[in-house]
Formats: sequence, structure tokens, C-alpha cells
Amino acid sequence: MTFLNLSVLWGLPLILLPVLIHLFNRLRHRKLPWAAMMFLRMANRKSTRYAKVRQWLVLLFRVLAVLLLLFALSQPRLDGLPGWMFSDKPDVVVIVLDRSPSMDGRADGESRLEKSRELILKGMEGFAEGTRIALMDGSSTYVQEVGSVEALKNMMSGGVNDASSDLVAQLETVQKWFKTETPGNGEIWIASDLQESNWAASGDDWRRLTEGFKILPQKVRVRLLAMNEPLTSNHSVRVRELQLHGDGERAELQLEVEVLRDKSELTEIAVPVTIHLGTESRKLDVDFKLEGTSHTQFVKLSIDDPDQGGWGWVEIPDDDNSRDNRSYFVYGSHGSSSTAVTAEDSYMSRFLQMAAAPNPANTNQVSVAIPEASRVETEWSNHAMVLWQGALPEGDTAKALLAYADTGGMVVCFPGQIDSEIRFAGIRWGALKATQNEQGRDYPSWREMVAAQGEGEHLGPRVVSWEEGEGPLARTEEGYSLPMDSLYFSQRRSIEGDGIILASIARDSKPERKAEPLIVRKVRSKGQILFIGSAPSEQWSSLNFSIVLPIVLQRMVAAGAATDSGRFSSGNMMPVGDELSRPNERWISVGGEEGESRDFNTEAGIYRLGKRVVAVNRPEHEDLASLMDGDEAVALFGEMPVAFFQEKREGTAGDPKEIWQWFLALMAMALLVEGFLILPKSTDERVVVSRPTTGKVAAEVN
Amino acid sequence: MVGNIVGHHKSPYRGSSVEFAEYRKYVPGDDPRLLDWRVLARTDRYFIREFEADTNLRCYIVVDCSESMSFGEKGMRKFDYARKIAATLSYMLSHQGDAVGLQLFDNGVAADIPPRRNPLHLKHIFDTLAKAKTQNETGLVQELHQFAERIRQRALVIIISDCFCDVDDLLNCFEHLHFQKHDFALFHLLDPLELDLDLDRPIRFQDMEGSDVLLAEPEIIREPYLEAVREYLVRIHEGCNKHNADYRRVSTDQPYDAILADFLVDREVLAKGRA
Repeated sequence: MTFLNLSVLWGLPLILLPVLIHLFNRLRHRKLPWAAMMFLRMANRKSTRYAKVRQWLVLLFRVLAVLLLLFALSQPRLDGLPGWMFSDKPDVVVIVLDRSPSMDGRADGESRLEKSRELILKGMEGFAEGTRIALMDGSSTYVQEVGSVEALKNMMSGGVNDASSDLVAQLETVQKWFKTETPGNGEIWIASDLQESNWAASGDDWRRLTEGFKILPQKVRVRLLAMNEPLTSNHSVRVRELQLHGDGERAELQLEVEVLRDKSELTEIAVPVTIHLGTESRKLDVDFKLEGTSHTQFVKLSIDDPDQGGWGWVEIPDDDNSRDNRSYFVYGSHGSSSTAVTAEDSYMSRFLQMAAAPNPANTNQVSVAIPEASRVETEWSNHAMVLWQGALPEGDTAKALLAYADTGGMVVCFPGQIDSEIRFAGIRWGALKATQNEQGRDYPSWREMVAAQGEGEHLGPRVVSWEEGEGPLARTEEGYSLPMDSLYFSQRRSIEGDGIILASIARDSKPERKAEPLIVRKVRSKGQILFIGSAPSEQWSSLNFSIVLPIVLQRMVAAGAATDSGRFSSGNMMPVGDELSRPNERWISVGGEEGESRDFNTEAGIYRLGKRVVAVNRPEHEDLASLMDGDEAVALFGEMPVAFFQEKREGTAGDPKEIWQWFLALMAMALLVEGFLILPKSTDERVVVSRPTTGKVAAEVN
Repeated sequence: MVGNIVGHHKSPYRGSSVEFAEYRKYVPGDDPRLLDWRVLARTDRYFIREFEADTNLRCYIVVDCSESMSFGEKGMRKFDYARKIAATLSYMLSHQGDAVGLQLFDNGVAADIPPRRNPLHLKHIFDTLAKAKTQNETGLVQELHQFAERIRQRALVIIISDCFCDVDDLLNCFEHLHFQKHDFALFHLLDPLELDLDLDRPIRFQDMEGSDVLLAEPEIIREPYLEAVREYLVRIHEGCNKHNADYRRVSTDQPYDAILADFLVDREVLAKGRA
């Protein structure tokens, strides 16, 4: 049982009012000189036990009536688990707060999150003393203990996020907290709108979770505050794709904008969509005509300076959920394309820098050497491409580079002299293979090998096939092939692992000889990693002499810069939470309203880190999110005791019952009984002393 | 009635009134003047004619002036009511030539006026009643016993009291009076409040004739109180009936003239019945 108006219970001392009135009444008795004391004494001795018990009963029923009235005024509600009425107070209450965008939905002016907060704080008033409070906030990754209800109020005061909630992950965190903190019996209060995508998990995940709670030494119960009241009117908008055509003064930005609505009515409505170009302080209003539940339309805008790049957002008017009314985008180039180079020796480093940025006068294309000592803290996302020569990266550096590649970065790896077992993106360098002369000695350089070969001869292995259709080894626009087959390799390493083979190498061109991969590409989500089996130096191959490598690197850096800028795709538009800021990163909010400070990890917006600018939007499944039924959510907890606390919804079975009427009825009954007890005796039952008018008394029977 | 002067009341003795009583044979020593000569002449037998003798009434009005008699609203206290009855009866008896005496008592005799017939005596009774004050505990039982012993001559004794004393002792007094052949009547005065305890709120009852204090809620004790009052009244009534006493239960909210009228009528009927 819960009380919606818990403060009324502070009036509980009022139940003593009848007792106080009784005592006060006795105290304010009046004095009366009395002659017939002999009868009073007799009456006092004879006053029956029933009369005294009746007086106490009258008092008791008056107290009961006041008590029941107070209960009725406090608006008690009986939840789905009446046993909880008599259950012990929990030692700890862990509040799991869903802050996903759909929690900003407003069915009646107040958002789901605000309602949740209000209900939780009201509910917590009953647990103010002796119960520990902990919060698993939707924007946090750990359980935080809270000192008081007031502190809880402050901590829950923030608004909703643009990131999705993962209820299973949150509950797993709570479970771990119960294991490590070992509090007493606890309750988990989950405030959520039961959005399917946030609660979606395989049956195994939920079973594992509930089993985990079951084997805890503490008893853990769940109280579910379901805020799944449907919204009456909600639309959402999203930029699905953008393309920048042309350059210079004739550039044009094409946005693919989708508007969704949550009702499949056939009535056609016009939704005004406003496109803001933040960098150019321009906006454009377009009406989207919706016939069904969604409408996608291409909107074209002329761009003044596409090379500078820019950002903006599309917006629809405010409705029941303002959180899905805006979508951000970025376009164009954002500064110079930089290449980071790490190499075993200074020659290799210098050569690779030159290959990546051949023209020192072009400050838009630069390359920097990264010393070995500073590789760990290097911010790779500042670069369009990373050239890595030597043993493959490992540990935190490998993780950072993989994350960099996932978000659109280009990594090119060259082998080194030192043997290593390190695997990077599933690939590792094999044994060092050197080309030997007839005496069985290794050629010290590819040039000596060329000098040793005869007319029309090609000593050493040669590239026998390569991908000319697309990628870094593609033909030129004029149709010319790259001179891959003229490369000489005096030294190379085999590439072990699966990947897309872009070029293969063989000892000679005879078809029976088995070719080995020379260049392998690993595609990450938005970027790629290229493994080249030989290095550009005299000792390794003619890559330091041929035009092949500069072309390949220029193409790679261009692709990296393009992906980075979002010239060809929405590569720089990511959902909230897809990439989290690392401890040494500071993403700065550049989009949105003036003076708005945003959190890269949880809020949508335009952010900049170094020269990298990204548009962060809510995850796609948060648009017009479908909500589960309360029963479905309760079923997920299996055998765990769950009290289902749902928002009041007309005619919904399972709502907590308002039982204040019961208390009023009981109060009326108590007053009736009290009235019956104080009812004077009827004339027949009453003792009457005859008083004849003449004084003459007829015969009386004792 | 035994009186020493001629009055309105029938005497147990034969006298010289005009009312013929009976014939009786002459015995030596009888006054020869009483011989009925006509009977002697006709029958030659000696008969004496006897006539009823009329005498006056000796009445003692005994009024309780203990403190309990002062209970009641101002002007309608039990004692005020008792004085009215006593004064009225004194006046009526005196005017019909009866001797009226008055005794006031509380825990002792406060005033004792022997029966007289003259008008000055009546004034003396009125003055005494007017000056009387309620005080002390009641000594009704003790005083009635003393009174019964002291007054040897048969008399009408009218007791006006609230009789707040032990019922058994009171009934003994009645027996004593009856034994002394006194004709007695009891005007039992009670305040309406004492008869129905129609009070609310807790009350600190303070004994008017003592220092006892009792805090009680009338609502709780009303029933047993009324039971006790009823039992007490019934026993007194029965005691009076047993000793041929005229019992009048008087609530002070009733008009005293109606009470007295009924009393007097009943006495008249009783007198005729005896005749």
C-alpha cells in the first residue's frame, strides 16, 4: 500500500483528540452540592462493568474514526502485491532511473521523467530513516549511494538524455553493487516508460539476471513505476543522409529528411520543418505533407563555402515529446587532413611523412611523426590517416586505433625488422622472407637485386594480381593501371589472418605457383585498416622508389579526410553513446542554442574535438518508441517479487486501487457503532421513578 | 382524637354532644341525670343514654431542616417547600380549633413549639418557620424516636423531610410511632433532579451534609442511581403502608396546593370511614 498524500499521516497524533477531549472534559467538570449522596455512592458501587466497557468502546471507536479519516485523506493505494503491506521495511532502496529521450513524453503537461521523480520522492518519504538510498541513474554507469532524500532530489533533478537506456545492463550493475556492498534486504525501484528497445534483451539475458538476484543472500524485490501512458500527438524528425554536390560558389547540400508520426491515420497533415544552417545563420521552412506514418523528402540548400564545412539541424514544432523534434548534421571539410606516422627508424619515418604530405607548402595536408613514447596519449581522431611501420600496435594503443578506425579513420601498417606475435584487427605479421641470390645469400637491398638480374629478368617475387576496380590500387580516372607489377621486393613479411586481399605476390608469374597476399584490407564500421607486406626502404622494396606508394597513401588520406568530414556520407553523424569520450578528451559543444553546454556522452548536438566535428543524434530506435505493456515487463522478472505501479489510466486493469473510499466506509461504520453505543435507552427500558402530581403513590413493585 | 377541649374531631370517649351514640344499662354510680326516664316509665328498666363526645386535635408538624433540605433551585428549595406545607397546615388546623405544634430538627431539635390553639400561637409558628435555617446533618431517626417517647398522648404527626437516612432505621421509627398509637403522615420531599439525575458532563458531587466528594459521569451512573432511588422510595412507601401512615411523595416542581388538597380530602374520607 502506498500513500499519495503521505504528509497527511503527520496528522496521526490527532487520533488522540477524542482521548484528550475526554480527559479535558473530565478536568473541566463542574462542582455541584448534592444532597442525595447515599444514592450516588450506591450507584458508583453498582455501576456495571458493561457501562464502563461501553465508555471505553465509545472512546475507541471515536479514535478509530479519526484514524480512518486520516487514512482516507492520505489517499492510500493498494498496489498489485498486497503482501507488501505487511512486509518489512527494506534496508536499501536502489532507484533505477530511465532517462532515455522517450521519458520526455508529456501526456498531460508533465513529462514522464518528472512524474517518475515526483512519485519516487513521495514514496521515499516513508523510508526517510533507517533505509539506505542508492541511485542508478540512466546517465551513469555505476550505482551511487545517496545520503538523504533531499540529496536524492538534487541528484535526480537533471532532464532526460538523448542516449538509450539499457535496463538489463543497469540492473546487472545494481546486482554487482548488491554483491560488493552486501547491504540488507533491498528494493529496486525502476522508473521507466517500458520502451521496448530499452527493455529488449534475449530471454537468456533476463533469466541470467533474475537468477543472479535469486542467489543473492539478500532478498531483493522490484517496484516498477511504469510511465507508459501513450502520447496523444507526437512527431519526430531525422536527417537520414546528406550529400554535398559541386564546389566553390555552386555547391549544394542535399538533405534526406524523414518525419514520422505515431498515428497511422489517413488524414493528411502538413508538418512544418525548419532547416537551420548554424554556420551561415540561415534557416529554411519546408512543409512536409504526411499521409501515412512517415514521410521522407530531399531538401536542397545552396552552400556558400563548402570547403569550410558547416553544421546545422532540422526541427519540427514542439509536441508531446520535444526530445525527438530535432536532428543535427555536419557537412564539408573541417580543416587540414593530417597523417600521423610511427616508424622504426628516422628514414622510414621521414619517407612516410613525405609520401603522405609530399608538398610542404600545402598546409592543408600535413604529416606528423609520433614518437614511440607518446603513442599512448596521441589523439588519433585528429588525423585522417595513421601510418604504422614496425611491430603491430598492442594494448591501449591498439584499442584506440581500432576505435579510431571504427569511427572512420584510415590506418596503414607496414612490417618491421623485429619478429612479433602481436595480432591487430585479426592480422599478424608472419616470418621475414628475404630474396636470395644463387649462392643462397640475401640481397642487402632491392637495388642490388635489380643490378644482379639479367635482361628481361625480374628477380624476387612480384605482384601478380591487384584490385583495380576500387580502393587505393584502382586505375586512374584515365584508365591507367598503377605499376604494381614493376615493384621489387628484397624483403617482406607474409600476412596471416583474414581480410580482403587487394594485391597478391608470387615468386614468378607461373600460374602453378601459389600467390601470397601482399596488401590486405580490413574494413571496420566506417574506416579501414590496410596491411602492406613490405616497407618502403632500400632494404625492403622499391616502394620507396615507385610512384605506387605515394598514390596509395594520397588516396587513403583522401578517403580518411572525406569520411572525417562527411563529404560523401553521414559518417560524422553518430548516435549518442556510440562513441564515448575518453578521459583525456574534451568534446566541445558547438551547435545548438547560444550558451548551451552539452555533454557529448549523453546529449545530442554538434561537437568538436580538435579538428574533428561530429553531429550526435539520439539513436534511431528512440523515434516514436513503442512501449510494452506492464504485464510484459513484469513477466521479464520471472519469479522475482514485483509490485507493479502504473500511471493512472482509465479502465486499465492492474492499476493500483485507490482504497480511500474503504477507509471512509470504515469510518462511517465506526461512527455508527459509536452512535449505537451512546444511544439513550428506550422509554420502556429506562428506570422511571414515579412522581404523582398529588403526591399519592400507587402500589409499586420493587 | 383525644383532646381536652371540644373540637371538630371525634373523641374515643363518650361525651355530651348532640350526636346520640347508644343505650346502656344503668350501673350503680352512674349519674342519675343520664337515666332515660321515658324508657324507665314505659319498661321499668334503667337505661342510660350515651352521646358522642367531640374533641379537638393535637397535631405535631415535624420539619427536617438539615442541610440536605436546602437542595434545589433558589426559591424552590426543598426546605422552602416544607415551610409552605407546614405553614399552610398550621393555619388550617389552627383555624378549625385544633392545637398545632411545630418541631424543627437537624441533628438535634432546632425548635420545639408545643401544640396550642390561640391565634398568637399561630403567629409564633409562622415566625419560627420564617427564621428557620437549614444546617447540619439530618438526625431524623433519632429525633423521631425521641419524639415518639416524649409525646405520650395520641396525636397527628406530620413529618416533612427528604428522609435521606438509612431506610431500615427510618422504618423502625415508623413502627415506634405506630406503636405509640400516633396517627402520622409523611410528606417525602424530593427535588426533580434527585429523582431523575438529568445531568450531563462529569460532575464533582459534594456532599451537602459532610465533606465527601464524588467525581462521576451522570451518563454512566444514571441507571444504577435511579435503581437505588426507586428501591429506596418503594421501601419507604411500603413501610408507611404497613404502619397505616399517609405517604405523600412530593417533587418540589409540583404545586403544593394540589398536594395538600388531596391530602386533606383523603383525611376527610378516612375520618368518615372510621365513623
